[in-house]
Amino acid sequence: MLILKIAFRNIFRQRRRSAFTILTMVGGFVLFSLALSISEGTYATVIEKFTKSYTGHLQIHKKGYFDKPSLYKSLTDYDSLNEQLKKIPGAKSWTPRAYSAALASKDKKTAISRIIGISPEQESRTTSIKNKIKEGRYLKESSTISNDVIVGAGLAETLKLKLGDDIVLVGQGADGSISNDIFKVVGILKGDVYSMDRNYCYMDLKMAQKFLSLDNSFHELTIVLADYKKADETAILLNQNLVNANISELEVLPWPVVEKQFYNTMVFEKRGMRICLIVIVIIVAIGVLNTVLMTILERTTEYGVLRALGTRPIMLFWMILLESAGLAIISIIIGFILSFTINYWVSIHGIDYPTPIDIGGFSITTMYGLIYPGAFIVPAIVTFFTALIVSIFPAVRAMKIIPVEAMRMN
Amino acid sequence: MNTEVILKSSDILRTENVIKTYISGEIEVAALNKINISIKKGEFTAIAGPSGSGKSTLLNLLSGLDKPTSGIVYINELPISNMSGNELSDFRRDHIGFIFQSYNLIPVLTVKENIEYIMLIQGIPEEERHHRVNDILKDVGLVEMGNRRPAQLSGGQQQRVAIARAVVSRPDIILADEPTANLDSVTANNLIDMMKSLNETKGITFLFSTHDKRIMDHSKRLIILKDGIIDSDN
Repeated sequence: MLILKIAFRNIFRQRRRSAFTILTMVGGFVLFSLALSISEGTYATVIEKFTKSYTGHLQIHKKGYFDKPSLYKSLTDYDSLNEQLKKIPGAKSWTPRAYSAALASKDKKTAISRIIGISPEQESRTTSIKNKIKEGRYLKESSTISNDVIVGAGLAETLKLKLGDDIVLVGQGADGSISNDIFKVVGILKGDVYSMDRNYCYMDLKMAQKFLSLDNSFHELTIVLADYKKADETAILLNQNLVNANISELEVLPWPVVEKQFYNTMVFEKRGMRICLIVIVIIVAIGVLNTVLMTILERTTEYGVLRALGTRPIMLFWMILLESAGLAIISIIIGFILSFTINYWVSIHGIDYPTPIDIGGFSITTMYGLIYPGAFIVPAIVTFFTALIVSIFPAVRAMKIIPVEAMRMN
Repeated sequence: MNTEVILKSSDILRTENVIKTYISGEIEVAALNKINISIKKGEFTAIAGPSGSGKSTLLNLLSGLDKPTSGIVYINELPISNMSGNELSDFRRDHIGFIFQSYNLIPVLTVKENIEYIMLIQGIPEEERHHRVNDILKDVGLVEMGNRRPAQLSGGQQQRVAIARAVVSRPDIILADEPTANLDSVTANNLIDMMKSLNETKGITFLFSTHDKRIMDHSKRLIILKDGIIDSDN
């Protein structure tokens, strides 16, 4: 207890030096916390934008469809899936889609196109496709089957399509027949992600099912969750529920699996951030080490006296570590208050990039912070243990002080 | 390690052919040469001699702060020269009291806490500690100063605290290295009287290293060191 008292009072002995050390640690804490907050905030924004623009957080397919898509690997019982999804906590909305390839042509121009059948209303509740219409309008929900299509900007450019133009699609039906029809371009889509507006041709799901002879079947059910971070655990839960409900031969995939390349880019970007964090830790470590070494040098005589009076070396060791721990705790408290305030401000107002940067195919103009426990817990742990670890060397030096030599320095 | 020992003889401290040499460059310098002394319980002894005669070196060896090049130092018939680091720390804590020339109080602790420090690391119960601290504060005349920090005291008052700290843990012997060197003559006289009184009333054994004529005059025994050997012992 007396050791604790000495250690604590020593903090306030050299107030200017302690203040400098605390300032270093607080600076490190705030930078660390802000870096984590902005990093998570930016990635959360990108992931949310990316997943909500098209992919969703979970996708259900017929087993094997994801690895090797086929017109014939389709889902048939939408109602059962709908019932199962209603039981999943955090599942906000979902929408069915049908896919196939087709030959698109206008006049003498022809191009390969990917037909995507969507349920207009459900799709607009689930993803942001509706907001990406550059020209024209979105598909209308109607009880009758409509020949309206939205084409990607890439396809529009290849075929020189304008709003109101007719486009001929030729594809293969699931019954083996050749399907062909004339469609009307009602909208041109320009997405955030390059692939979205390439050669895609969006039409009403009912039209796609008719065109591809799919009856009521579809290929994909895209689900958006309240929290994208729960995609993995929700996928496991949903898979289990489907097995329990005897809805077999399906697979539920979370977005990191569906968009593996994008996910890996995110992971790689996050790793890059670690270098920045390591630099912050080194700055804190040097600051603390400098202070503790100065302290040991200055108090050599005092430690010599304590040893002469019968204090065991290990008590000196703990005395020094406790002093550093005290400095770290004060810094963590101040750092928390400051970084919470700063992170909160950045999460609301954001910081504008001088020029937009590209992350995972998305152009980011403003970086926003994210308030989450890790942005404070991680810097607190790092600050505390950095202070302790760098104090070990000076503390061991103090343990080795020879009393008679130390007292001669008085 | 419990270093409580039972006295086997009236000698609290004795040395056998203690030699201490230092290497200075390529030359070996003999600081102490075959020192044989013994201190009995209740003595008030001064070791005097000119600068460089080896007084402080001898005191360091007798307290276990330094090790002799050869020879043995016994305290309560225990050879302290052979003890390991922690054993020696515990031994000093339990058997030796120190008074230093420059007081060497812990600046961040109050007077009471400084006095209490050794008892605390000895593991003496709180009630007993407080009782002893209050008693010794009366003995050294610092009852009103208990909650002050060393920096708020005069040199004489600080040395009184140092004496209280040395005495309170009830060591077998108190080793005082030039305890009056930094004090004015009135304060020094008061302190010498106080230590003499503690010696006579409580039987505390004092061994001084000193230049101070007044301490030499008050000592029951005076050992004169000259060039690392005992010149006289009266």
